[in-house]
Amino acid sequence: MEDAISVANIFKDYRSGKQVVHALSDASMSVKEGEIFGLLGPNGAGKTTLISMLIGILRPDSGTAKIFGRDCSSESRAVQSSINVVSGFSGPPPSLSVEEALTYYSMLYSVKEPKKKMHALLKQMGLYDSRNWVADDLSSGMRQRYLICKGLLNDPKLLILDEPTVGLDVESAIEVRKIIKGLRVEGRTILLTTHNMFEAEELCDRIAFINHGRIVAVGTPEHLKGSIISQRTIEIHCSEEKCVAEGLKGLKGVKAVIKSPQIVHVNVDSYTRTKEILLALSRCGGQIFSVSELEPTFEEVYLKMISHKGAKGEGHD
Amino acid sequence: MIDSVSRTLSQVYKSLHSLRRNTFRLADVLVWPMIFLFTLTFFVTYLGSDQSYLYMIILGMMGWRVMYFLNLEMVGSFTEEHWAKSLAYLFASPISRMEFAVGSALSGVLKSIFVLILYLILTYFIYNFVILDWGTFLLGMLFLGISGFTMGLFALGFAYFMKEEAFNLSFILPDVLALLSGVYFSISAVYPAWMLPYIRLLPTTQAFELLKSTVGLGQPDMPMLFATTAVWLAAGYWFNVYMYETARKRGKLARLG
Repeated sequence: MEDAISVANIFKDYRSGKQVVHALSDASMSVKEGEIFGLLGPNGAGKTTLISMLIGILRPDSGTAKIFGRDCSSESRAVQSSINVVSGFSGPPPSLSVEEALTYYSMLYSVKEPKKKMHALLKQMGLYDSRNWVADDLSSGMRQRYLICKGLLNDPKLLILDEPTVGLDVESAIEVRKIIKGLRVEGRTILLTTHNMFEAEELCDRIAFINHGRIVAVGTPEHLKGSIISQRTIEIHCSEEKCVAEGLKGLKGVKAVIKSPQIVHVNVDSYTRTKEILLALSRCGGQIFSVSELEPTFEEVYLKMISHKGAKGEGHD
Repeated sequence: MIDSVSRTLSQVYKSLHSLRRNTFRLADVLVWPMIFLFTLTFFVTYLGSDQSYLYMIILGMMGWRVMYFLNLEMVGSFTEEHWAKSLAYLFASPISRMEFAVGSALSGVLKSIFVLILYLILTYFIYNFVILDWGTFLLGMLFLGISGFTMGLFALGFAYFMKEEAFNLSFILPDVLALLSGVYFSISAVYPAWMLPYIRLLPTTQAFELLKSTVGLGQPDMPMLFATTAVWLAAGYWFNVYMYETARKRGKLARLG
């Protein structure tokens, strides 16, 4: 399958007087057609710079960024016709109603049968009855849905979503995530940036971590989680922790047993040891309330990844 | 071609539809032109000047409006998108720099036509003002429109970097040019002789001279009018392209959010 996005060895510096900021340093990554790809990193990591290049409003110093095989700098207009972008920080054009603003964007993208397309999208996003409202007066949640309408007007093969749930209440954020999942079903490629790790894990097929202008890791959420686990831990909630701890010591693959009141943590070399541990537990006295394999949260993965300052952009994929 | 027309007209659509909810824009079409018209014409009437001077003032106001509207629409359309945080959407769309500039200028043309018709009606009934030579009048307006567009290209070039700061330019430029080009007076009667050759290098000076000639007060120089208009337009285009590409390279064009 063709790469929807292909970024190769991009460098970009910003200069302010004598000060030089390396916004992107040898950034490379690719996004497959039809996947939701997350781009995660702290503020100033280079996410916006990279997206700005993809949408054609910024030129790289060197390297190439391509969308569906077309160069984002030299063929920017052809690229721009086939993609769209939605940013959680943006607003509607001034003094226009929802329908007028969408008509305006339909004209910019030369949408065929714009009214039909617009009304279908407004209905899909639950905004049809608010189509005559001034777009500026919409609530945050409605505004995001309006922006997604705008993002889908030209039926883009690639949709870039820059923090689409920023500033939204829980209900609105859930709704927007539901919409994004729906777009995946339609087969669209989505590039998503977010600071919400739960959202990234829930939505993305693959994720790239970017820090100090470098892509420090790329992979599926599971793969990335697996890559940071240095030790695997099984947590046992029980009534007789002393007995359990004694019963598990010396088992094959068990590296350490740490006990605290009614909880025993067992460090093992692999989760394939869980079965043997369960067998050993059945021979212990007292009650066993629960046994679980501990996994790192995606926030822990994120913190671990971005703590590798200046790591080379070789993915784990 | 059809797509290009659609993108160009998108700016006209945006401007006209936002007009009714934007008091600044509305006042710029309905209020300020009238205040301008009556303040200046009442003043000239009070001084008891020759009628040809009154007509020169009316023609000057009309010409200045055309220049002002074209320039303001180009920069205003840009800065309003910047204020609304939707500028990145504009430049992330397939619209080209020139489609944007021409589309915005077209909104200025429509506003100009509206205000000129109002001026013509009001001044006919109040001062018996009529255009005697429509050909020269329209040619003068055309050249002032091109001058307004050229000014807009320069001001937009600055706006790519300076954003709202450049909005001030859209007010300053037409006023400075109006002063230099002698919109409401004869340049040879006011400016020292050494300044005149430089002032005549401005296309606006030549265009206003053409307009004034319809009431017997100007000395138009047609080859200079064509030459200065073409040279300044080419310079404006080059400057705009240079500033756009530089802004795009330095990340100043637009920011997401």
